[in-house]
Amino acid sequence: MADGPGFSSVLQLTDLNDFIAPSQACVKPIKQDDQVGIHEKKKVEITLGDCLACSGCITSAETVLISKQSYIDLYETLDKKKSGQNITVIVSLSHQAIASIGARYGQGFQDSARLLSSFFHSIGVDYVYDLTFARHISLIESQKEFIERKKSGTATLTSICPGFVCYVEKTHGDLLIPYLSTVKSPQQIMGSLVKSLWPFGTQNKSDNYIYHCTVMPCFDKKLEASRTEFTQEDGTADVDCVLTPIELEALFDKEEINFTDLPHRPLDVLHPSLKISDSDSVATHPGNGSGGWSENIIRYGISYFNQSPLNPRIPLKIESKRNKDFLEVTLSPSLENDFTPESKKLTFAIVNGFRNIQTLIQRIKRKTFKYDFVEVMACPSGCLNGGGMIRGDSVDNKLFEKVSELYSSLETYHLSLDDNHDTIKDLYNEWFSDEVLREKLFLTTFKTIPKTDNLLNVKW
Amino acid sequence: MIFDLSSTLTGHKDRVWAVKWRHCGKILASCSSDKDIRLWKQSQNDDNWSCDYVLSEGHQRTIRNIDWSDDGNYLAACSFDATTSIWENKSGKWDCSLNLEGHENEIKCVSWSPSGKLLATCGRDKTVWIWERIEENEFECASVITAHSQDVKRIKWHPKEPFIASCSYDNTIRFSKEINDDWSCYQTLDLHESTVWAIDFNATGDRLVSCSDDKTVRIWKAAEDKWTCIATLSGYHNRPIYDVSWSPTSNLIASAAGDNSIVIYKETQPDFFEVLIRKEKTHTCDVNSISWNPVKSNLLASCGDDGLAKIWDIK
Repeated sequence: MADGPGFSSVLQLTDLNDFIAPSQACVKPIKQDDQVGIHEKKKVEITLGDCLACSGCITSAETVLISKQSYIDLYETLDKKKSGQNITVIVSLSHQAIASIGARYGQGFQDSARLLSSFFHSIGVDYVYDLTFARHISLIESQKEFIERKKSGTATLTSICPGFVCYVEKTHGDLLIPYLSTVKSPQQIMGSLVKSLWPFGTQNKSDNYIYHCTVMPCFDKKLEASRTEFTQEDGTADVDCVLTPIELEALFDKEEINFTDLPHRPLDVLHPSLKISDSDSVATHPGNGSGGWSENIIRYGISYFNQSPLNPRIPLKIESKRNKDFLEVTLSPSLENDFTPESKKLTFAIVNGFRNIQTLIQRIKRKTFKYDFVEVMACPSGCLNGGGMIRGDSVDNKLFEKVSELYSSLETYHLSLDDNHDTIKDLYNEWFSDEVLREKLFLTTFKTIPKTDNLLNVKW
Repeated sequence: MIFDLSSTLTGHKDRVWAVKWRHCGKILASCSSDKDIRLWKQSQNDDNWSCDYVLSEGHQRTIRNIDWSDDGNYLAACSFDATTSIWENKSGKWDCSLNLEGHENEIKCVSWSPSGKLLATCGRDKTVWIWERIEENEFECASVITAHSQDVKRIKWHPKEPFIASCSYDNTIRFSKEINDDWSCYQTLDLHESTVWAIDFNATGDRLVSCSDDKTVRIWKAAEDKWTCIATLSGYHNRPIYDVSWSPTSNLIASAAGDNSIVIYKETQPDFFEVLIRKEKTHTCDVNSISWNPVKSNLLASCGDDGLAKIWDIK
């Protein structure tokens, strides 16, 4: 396939302001010029790594979303594989991305998944998975972490959204990092699993290089995949490449692929014990389209502090505060008589969009913050409205409604989120019993990025 | 027509960035790179204006702009230190009651909505923020508008309707309002060929004046929510034009520029504007800001890089 800047033209079509636009002037070129004396000016190259390590901007400029993070990289890898190199190529699909493609091409959710599976296999990909299991682990780990933090009196902010994490590290590191959940996002848990344990259920780790590509609802996931925290000992990334539905649409157009004419092919199964049922359908978790972090974890918290079995359907009161993207989640008042004070007092929030993140931060600063746990996503309406999702033609974005509809049509994953459940216990005993391994696979760290005072750039 | 100097206000120790009359017309506020805000009043014995109050220690860097709330009880100031301060008048004393944080870096302008319930700020991070007054002394971020592609220089609330105009280093003027629970840009004016430094509405709100680095002043007219340019006034300034003020009482327009001059325009026939007077050497360096007195229609305040604020008598 022809190389070239196809990626950036795609990026120009989209609004990369998932979050907040890059600063007017990147400080890096200035730093390069501080040597005294005559020297030849070198072309300054800015990598994604530079951007992540610098507080000059909030997120990186689109031009910095390097070619490494485009379908060209995937195609080049497939070419290498075809020419005989020992590479296994794995693609992991997020629920939101499958829904976006389905909405764009007028397909149901399961059909969209089967067509995507078919497409990726047709170009030479070995395995195509969905991210349900990785999210399941992420939720279970988050539940455990929540209980520990609640007991020690610390609130938790989710770190699933890389836009939010990037903003925290660059602007409010010292204040907010202590609150960030250290549990990896589904993308990065899948990355760890694929790079450390694949093929699952066997003792022999593959000798092939495993190339792992994810399809995600937002461009910020490319930043997440580029973090140094998410690399193997040999320096290779847990997720080699992140694509979005917008890029897939452009790829189908460019390669003249009649997506809906492809034969259906079920997704591959990670491991027989992790399947939802005998069918090959993709399932999801209860709760909103970002993954239901607040809803699932509060239910776990309620059951834990009430010492009653986990009920994944227990009614919650979800109330809008200020606007539709600032929601408060508590146990439904109709049930309060049956619950201990500790469990009915739990108050969670769902905070989407930059404006509400600001309110959240100011409340934490002024100590008027009262939540036990907050699900934070940088995009208004959460991940179903991610910056990488295909937009409708009109302002009212009918595709978003369709995407939400497709997501809600999914069956719920049958695997329990209760860590006392036999299957979960067996799973952890069999695969993740080693505590050091569990931490390595599922937990991460954050660091404050020092402010660069850049007075040279003052513009009146 | 006369254009006479009425008072020279000395006291700031660095460039003076903005002057704004309180709505009663009796107090002038000015802000400066010296990090102070000064309030100027006319003494009762003689007609001289002198410094009545210094609002200091609210900011760590240049105070770029200020705005009075309509009731005159609050003064908002924005700074290159990335914060906005709200000053409250409590029985004659001015206290900094609040500091709004959120912008990534330098804030360029602040504007109160006519009701005083909303405040808008904008700056180098290309964003316009809408702040909502939740309680007496509490503001929360209601929206962050990311329509501009460059540094946003000014914002101004419409005098009657709930929308704002903003102008930028990206050469555009944009209008934003609340649509479906959030604020977004719904119209863009892109006729200026360089940075649009300032904008101002007339008293009724059916006209807007803008000025630019392209050395022109443009007048825009609204018809059913749509703004069109009805006049381009060029050739009167030979350096970038930094500020415009549309008098709410006399309906005259004033522009101030890097050529140290101030120009006064009048609508002599419908949609037709003429220059009444051009005053050179009003300041020894760039004139940064001008403000028509909202009560005494003959008074115009100005300030500049020479560290001075001045009051002019124009009639």
